Amino acid sequence: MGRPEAENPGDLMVWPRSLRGKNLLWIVPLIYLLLKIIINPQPVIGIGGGKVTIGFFNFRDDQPAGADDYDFVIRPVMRISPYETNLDIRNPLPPLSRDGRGMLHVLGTDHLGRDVLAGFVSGFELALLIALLVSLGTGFVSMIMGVQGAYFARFPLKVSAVEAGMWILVAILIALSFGWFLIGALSIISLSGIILCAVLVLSGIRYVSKNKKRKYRLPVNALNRQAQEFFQPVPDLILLLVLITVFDQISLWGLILILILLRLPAGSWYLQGQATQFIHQKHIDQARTMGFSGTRIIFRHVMPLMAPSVRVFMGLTASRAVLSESALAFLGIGPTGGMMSWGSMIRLGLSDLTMWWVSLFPVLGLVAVAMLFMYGSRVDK
Amino acid sequence: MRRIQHVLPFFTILILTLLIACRREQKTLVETVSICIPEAPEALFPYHSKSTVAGQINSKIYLPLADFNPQTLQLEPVLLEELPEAKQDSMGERYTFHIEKEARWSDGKPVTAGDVVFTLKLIANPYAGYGSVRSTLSNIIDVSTADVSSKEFSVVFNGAYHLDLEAFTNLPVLPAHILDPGNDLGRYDWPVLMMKGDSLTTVSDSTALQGVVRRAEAVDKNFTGIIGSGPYRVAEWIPGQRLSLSRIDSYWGADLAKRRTELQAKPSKINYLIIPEESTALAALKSGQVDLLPDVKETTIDQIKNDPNLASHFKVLSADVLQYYYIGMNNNGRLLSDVRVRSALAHLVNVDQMIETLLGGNANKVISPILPQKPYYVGNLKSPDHNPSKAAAILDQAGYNVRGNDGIRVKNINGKNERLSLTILTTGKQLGKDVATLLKNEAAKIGVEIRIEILDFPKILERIRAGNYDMANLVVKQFPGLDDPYLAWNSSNAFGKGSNYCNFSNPAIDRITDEIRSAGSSKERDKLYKDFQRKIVEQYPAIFLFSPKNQLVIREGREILTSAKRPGYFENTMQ
Amino acid sequence: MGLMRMMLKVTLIVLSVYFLASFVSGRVGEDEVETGGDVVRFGKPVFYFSLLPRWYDSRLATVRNGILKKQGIALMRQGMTFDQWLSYQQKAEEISKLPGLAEFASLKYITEKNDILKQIDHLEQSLPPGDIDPVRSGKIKAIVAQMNGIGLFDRIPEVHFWGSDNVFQQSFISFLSDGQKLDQLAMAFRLSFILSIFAFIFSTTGGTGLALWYISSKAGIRWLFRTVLQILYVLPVFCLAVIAVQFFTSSYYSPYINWFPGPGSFLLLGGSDSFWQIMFEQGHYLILPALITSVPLSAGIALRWISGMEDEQKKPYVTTLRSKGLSTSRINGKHVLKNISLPMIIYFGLLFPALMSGVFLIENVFAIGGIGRLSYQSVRHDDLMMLMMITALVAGINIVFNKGSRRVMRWADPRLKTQVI
Repeated sequence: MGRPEAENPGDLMVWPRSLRGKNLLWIVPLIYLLLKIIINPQPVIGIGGGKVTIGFFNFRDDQPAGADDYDFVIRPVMRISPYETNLDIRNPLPPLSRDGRGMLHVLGTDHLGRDVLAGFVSGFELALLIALLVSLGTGFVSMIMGVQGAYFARFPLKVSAVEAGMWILVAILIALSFGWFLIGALSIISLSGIILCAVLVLSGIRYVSKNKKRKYRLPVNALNRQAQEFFQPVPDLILLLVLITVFDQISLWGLILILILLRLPAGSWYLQGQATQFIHQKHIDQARTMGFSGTRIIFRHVMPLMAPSVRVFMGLTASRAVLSESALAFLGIGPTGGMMSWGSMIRLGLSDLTMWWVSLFPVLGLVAVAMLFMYGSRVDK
Repeated sequence: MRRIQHVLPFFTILILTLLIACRREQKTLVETVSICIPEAPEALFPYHSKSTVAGQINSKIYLPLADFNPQTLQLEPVLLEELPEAKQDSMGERYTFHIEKEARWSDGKPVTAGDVVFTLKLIANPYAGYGSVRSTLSNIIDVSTADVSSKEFSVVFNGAYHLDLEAFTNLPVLPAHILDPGNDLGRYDWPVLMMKGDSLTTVSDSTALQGVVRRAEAVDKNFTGIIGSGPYRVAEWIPGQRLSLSRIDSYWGADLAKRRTELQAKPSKINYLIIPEESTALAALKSGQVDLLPDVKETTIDQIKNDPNLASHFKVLSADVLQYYYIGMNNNGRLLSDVRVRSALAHLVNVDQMIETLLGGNANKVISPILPQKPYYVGNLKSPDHNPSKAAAILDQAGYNVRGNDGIRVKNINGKNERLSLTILTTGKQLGKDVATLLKNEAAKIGVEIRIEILDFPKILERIRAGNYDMANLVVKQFPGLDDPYLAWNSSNAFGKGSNYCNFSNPAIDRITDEIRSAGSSKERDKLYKDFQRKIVEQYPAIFLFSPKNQLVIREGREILTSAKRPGYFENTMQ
Repeated sequence: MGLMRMMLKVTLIVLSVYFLASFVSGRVGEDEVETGGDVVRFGKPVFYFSLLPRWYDSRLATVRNGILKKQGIALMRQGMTFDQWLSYQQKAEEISKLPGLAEFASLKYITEKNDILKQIDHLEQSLPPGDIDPVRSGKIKAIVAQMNGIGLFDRIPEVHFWGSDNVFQQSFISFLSDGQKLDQLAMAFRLSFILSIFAFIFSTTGGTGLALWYISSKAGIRWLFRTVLQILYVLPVFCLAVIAVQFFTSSYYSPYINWFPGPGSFLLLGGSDSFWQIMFEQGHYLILPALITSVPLSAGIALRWISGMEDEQKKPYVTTLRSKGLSTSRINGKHVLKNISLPMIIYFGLLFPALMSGVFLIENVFAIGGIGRLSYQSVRHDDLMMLMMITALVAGINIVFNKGSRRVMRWADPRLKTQVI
């Protein structure tokens, strides 16, 4: 929060010489695997009674100990759930202490007896999930938007007068339906139906009138640019607060969707800038003269060149998403405020400084994960 | 290059040193009291504000006719000269009131009968939207005065409600000359406004009535211009940061203040500092500018007690406030309509352990809606003990004796296999979350699934009123004086019509709560109260938890009045 | 011309945020009249212009929500006019006041035309003959019989920009006349502004200083330096904030670190103090949160400088200069620095507006009533007008700083004047 968008995120990548060229991201899943083997509310892998239990990404409420007879099972070293309270001991316990049942709490417990290591792992899972999905979603969509914007800037989409007229008509129709939707006469189903029909009709027209003379330019790039410029000054925080607080109960997937949507303008701006450099290269011109279609050029020639920038951008987005989510959980807003996530643990630990370990380890985890995501992707020099 | 990098840090240090050297010491006057509050009051107009903070502040500005004495918990006059006796006449039960001769508004005008009549009519004004207050006045047949500028007026009740006098006199009185200078409400009789609000459809009616409401809303747009009858007025309002009250010079109630707490004004200035985070409030305490820190969490109290430096400068006071926490259950819910399920859940909760761990022992266990401070409290009621195996047995009996693949109990209801899965609504406050977590974990051990949903309190209330909930963490704040269990436990107030949030419906309890309202003698009423307590615990309408003491931290050497009456402390008595 | 474009842009942004917020909170699209669980919906968006169907008479807005209004809406949808409905209500009221005819009051609440006619017949039949005024009830019947339903033409929405039914205009005017809210906005703006300026200065000077220090440091500790900077860049500020407010604002832990006033004295400012005293003390208090905010930012700036430098070092002109015999520091200072300061200026231009949008976490911890906390509060209390004003201010500042930083860039590098940036 409060950090401006980097015009060129690559500026932040300062590589120690020894690590240059190495892809460090493999550390993250390895650590995750290790942690899940050490501590897990469910067996790591359990096969028995006709079902398979896999103990990964089970950060949500644990199911009560179900059938424990498996034909084949890999058990974790410590079977503790992050939500399991234990008021029989004198809480909170500091790190490396044992409770009345002899269980070792490596990182201690909080005031309700919940194990901090288990909570740490649960927060780790949540952070991983959010980082993965948000960076994939943003990266993918921004890349498409950016490349398409750059391509159409260089090679504009030309339409005939008839088609241009149809596009304008469709735009008016969509605007009208949206207005009509505003007054409740249309439901959202019929609205999406109208938009779908319009898109189909237009593509149909395009196919049919393939050989007619084309004079007019579809302002794809201009629209793209306008959208990006438009959203750039909108305060990130306010939009996030509005979207999250106004919905009654937003699910985890809703949060991920919102985080993706917030990063899209900046992402497509950045990637469009990158793509423009590549589009202007000579071999693209040659491909055009050879008659390759736009789609083929985009997918086979431009996108592979974009891969490093996209990777860099995804790394940055991933770390930003993790930090945003922890900030929201710290405030208690959103779906992660109620779960055992790093943000809520930090809040718990800071509310009572005598249990400082409850907040220290999540902070360390946050810093480590954010750094790994940001600096861990390979950079080809 | 090198020069810059050498010079830069020096500049920085120089600037910082200058700033430190020029720090002023803040002078604290003995007659000023600074209190931390967690949020700003959203409104100070008594019928608009809903938060406790707002209520606490505007009780120093707007006074009611009578209120409960914080120490004796008896109804005593505040703006009135004395509490009148009822007289039966042809219309009903008539009380004739006399306002204190000296009572004045802060602009010098006297408090008159016209003000009281206006206040009542404003509440009854159909455009005002003060729904919950309005319904408590439905037993008033008539309000009248011979002369609006006099100090005498009379009210006629229909005698159906045993707390008529308390409910009526507890309403803060508003200044008619400010809010209705043209006497727009004078045109309408009390019965018309109260009973026939719906028939006022002419445009002129709605303009006049809405105009008054708009003037009332405008009060909150200018806190410093508020005219009240209390000992303080708003001296400064720095939005989001601080609200300061200052004592009114030559206050009319200064002589009466010895007997009436509401009229006391010991500090000449009260500063309410808005500090949302409790750790920051503690830091403010340590830096010496804060005198009183109310509603302190247990963990902060521990920090203060264990710290010799803090413990020597501050002391902790606690008050057994009339409020209790409970887990409300939707008695009309699909699974919870079975009293056995509710009773099983009640046996899962270990209230004593919760009091010990979450509140450091600073709370009293609560068994029924009647609190121990009341004279008719039944002391030997058996509370559901923490007994998970008994809970499991009860659930087996209730038909939930089969466990599904995930370990959750199921029962065949109307041909469908229902999982015993419930949701509990709670706000983001730590205490609520912890209570819900503990219940959830105990329930999981015997095969009951409980999911926790965290929502804002207004949203929780919305869902409760709509009947769209299973369980919810709730607080009940009570008045001193006699209870009226009709409001929360009679079936006519269920399903969003009133405060029967548990949608509890039981004919015996309905009868008892009705009779309490119209009981002839206090002996008869006491017997009914005791009956009520015994019968309601058998029904397990809710899981009653505890009544936490309101703990506050006050600077050593200063005194303040604490009591069971909300909010538990009275900053206007601080010295 | 540029000013007009900027204002247009700001207005568009603000209206979009308002639209989005009111849309997702359910205010746009439909108005509801709720009566004891029964909900009547009709199209009445709460937006900057009202799109009201033609059959909706704006005087309906003056009628209180309830079962009467519900009937009014229903009957008007079936073709009755507002005046007809008023006279219908009056007649029903008159008749119901006559002795023994109280049942006629039910006519005030029935919503279907046929049901009304049926009820009138039923009431007439069930009463003994001679007790009703046939003329009166005949009149009611006549009014109801006139209802012919509404045609398609009447469903077309009309745009209402002005008037009491334009909720946007109402809330806008109400906001402007609310001195307290304006005060709060002004105060929040001022506090956030000061905080942001301090944070801006600290982070830019700190970041640049750190970068310079890095450059002149030995290669051996550079990797350590860099790792520290990277850690500081991702450190969550709320932890630092909570710890800082405990330790550095009082002599409680040690009189030597009592460098800043406590939250109590910050909040107690005002009243009898003079304007400059207030500004000075407030500024003093705001230094600490600004320092905390600037920790990750200056690390980020330093990293940018460093990576920019390292990229530049690879360019051929540096090798040329070096071979000509210029010292490293001279190369760095004069040539490399100038070349990379352009992107840095763009970055600085983006930094300040980002700070201004409010760092809510810091403001909450330090009890500062700034823009971040104000926007959070207004979202919580559904105060969309305040939110709009905040958005307008922040977006405006954003645009101003964008343009400003570009202007500075063009001044710094005349070559850019001919390019379109």
